[in-house]
Amino acid sequence: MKKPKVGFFEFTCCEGCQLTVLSLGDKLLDLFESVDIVNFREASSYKGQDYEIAFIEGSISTSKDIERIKEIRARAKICVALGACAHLGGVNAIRNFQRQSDVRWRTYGDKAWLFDSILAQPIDAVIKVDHVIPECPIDKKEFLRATASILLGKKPFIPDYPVCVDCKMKANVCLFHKPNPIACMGPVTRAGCGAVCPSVGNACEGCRGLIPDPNLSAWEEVLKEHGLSIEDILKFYHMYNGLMGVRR
Amino acid sequence: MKKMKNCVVTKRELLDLIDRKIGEGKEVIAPAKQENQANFKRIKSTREILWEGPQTVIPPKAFLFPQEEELMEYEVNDEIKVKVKVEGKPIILLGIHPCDMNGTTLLDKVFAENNLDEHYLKKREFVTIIGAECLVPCSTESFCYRKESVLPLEGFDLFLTDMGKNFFVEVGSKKGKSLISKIARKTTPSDAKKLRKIRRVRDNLFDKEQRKLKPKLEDLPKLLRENYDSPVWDEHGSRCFNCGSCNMVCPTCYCFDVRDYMELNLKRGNRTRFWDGCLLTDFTKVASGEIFREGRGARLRHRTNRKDWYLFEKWERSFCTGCGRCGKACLTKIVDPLDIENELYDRWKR
Repeated sequence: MKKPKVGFFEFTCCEGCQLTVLSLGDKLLDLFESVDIVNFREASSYKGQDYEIAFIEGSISTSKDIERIKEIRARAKICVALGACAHLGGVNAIRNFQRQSDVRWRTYGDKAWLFDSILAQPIDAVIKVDHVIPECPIDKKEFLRATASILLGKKPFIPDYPVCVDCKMKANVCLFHKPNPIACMGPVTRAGCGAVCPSVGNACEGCRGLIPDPNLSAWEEVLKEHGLSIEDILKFYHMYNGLMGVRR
Repeated sequence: MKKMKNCVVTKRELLDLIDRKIGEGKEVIAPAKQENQANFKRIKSTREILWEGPQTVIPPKAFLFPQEEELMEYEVNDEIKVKVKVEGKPIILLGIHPCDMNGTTLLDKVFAENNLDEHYLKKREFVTIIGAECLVPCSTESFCYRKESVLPLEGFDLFLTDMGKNFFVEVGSKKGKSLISKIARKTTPSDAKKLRKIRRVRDNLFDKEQRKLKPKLEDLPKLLRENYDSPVWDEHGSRCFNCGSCNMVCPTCYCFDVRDYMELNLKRGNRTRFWDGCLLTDFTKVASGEIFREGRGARLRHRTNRKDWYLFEKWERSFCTGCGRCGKACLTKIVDPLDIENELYDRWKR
């Protein structure tokens, strides 16, 4: 069987998802054996343009990004959003809720006029996305399993149920039930991370995106019972999920 | 199970015996403290055991029907090679509460029905269950007394009741009998009398402290059948996250999802099962994308009906043992079967 050609591409992000792929260890060799990587800035200076599968991380945040991602879409048969920035707009979209001139000035100072930055958007606001591998950064095991599914021509399994499932499977004491309760976004956030944050006592911040049918009113009610204000609740949303409902 | 002779052991001797087993490398799993709750852990000493509660976050079913369990591995070359994984290892589950022993007994029935689930049954074969009677309620959420679950039906190897210096021991199997053969002594009439008194006190205490179930236990299937269209379902359902916590923590929820995972070389793969739950939205999602139990209320109703109607009628026993875990786990306090049934009953009578 001919090895499919694969490219990794980055837009506005920390490239932590590409680094996660590079830190696969032994499994990275398996990846090299299964696919032919023709474009991967974090790993190689070679820039091939003949790829069938494009793994794309980062959000769209300049008008040049829009042109570039459309070119990638035109070349690739399959486009996969890699990580929270590509999937949801990610932390980059926090800027969308601030005054844009302030944001540009703060970032670029007196060179702000050089950058045509626009509101941060997930990649599916611009192109058709075939598959999503969520999380910030992506989970190694899920990446490997999802990639194998894509190579088989199958839809990868990405859970649509909340993080509470993963947390209970780990037999964690619910963060809301600890002696000093911690407000958590787990009940409305997509699982699959193995409840990595709640398992070490940190709140879920929603980096895998909301589940398809989140009960947000019930969640907000629970947070209010725990003494959180509307502003606190908005901060939760804005961390990774500020663009929900705005997308498409 | 054939009833075997009860006996008495001194607490010290039994605990020393278990500690010696642990020293010899035996895997002993018991409830131990975890933050402000508890969990089953492999213990290094019987001193770690939390006998009276609080309740463990998840029930002991995890040792018979793990959260994630590889069922088979396969290799696809010119021919397909399949290796089914049916494995068990000898462990002792110690300090199991009656609600959980009854939960396990129900799982034993379910997994041995029609198509024998050899993955479960193999693990079950190797497990020794030493139960411990609860003399005080483990939590404010539990209502085992209302579900006739303060004593185990069967499904244990040994069942201990704390009588001060001694344990009164009900022997449920040969495995249990041989474990304590060297330290057991015959019961006397005064032991039996003491046990009856302990249980009378316990019954009174549980009756006083645990929330009441307004309908009669045996009437629950009828109550649920006649209230299939009650507005209670959607009222409770509107505050449901569909997070499945109630399913995960339930000692009798046994649904699972099966997934195939191929390795990147597309030659080797495995088939693994995972806990699933009827409260999860995609539980009833089919390949073409339809969800055929839509609505949060409908899913909540399904779970309640499974516990106290469908399976109750089928197996002639409630599939809710009153352990109280779901009521504790539910953040919006909508899932507790006793609360729901009382509410249905109140409105129904009016």
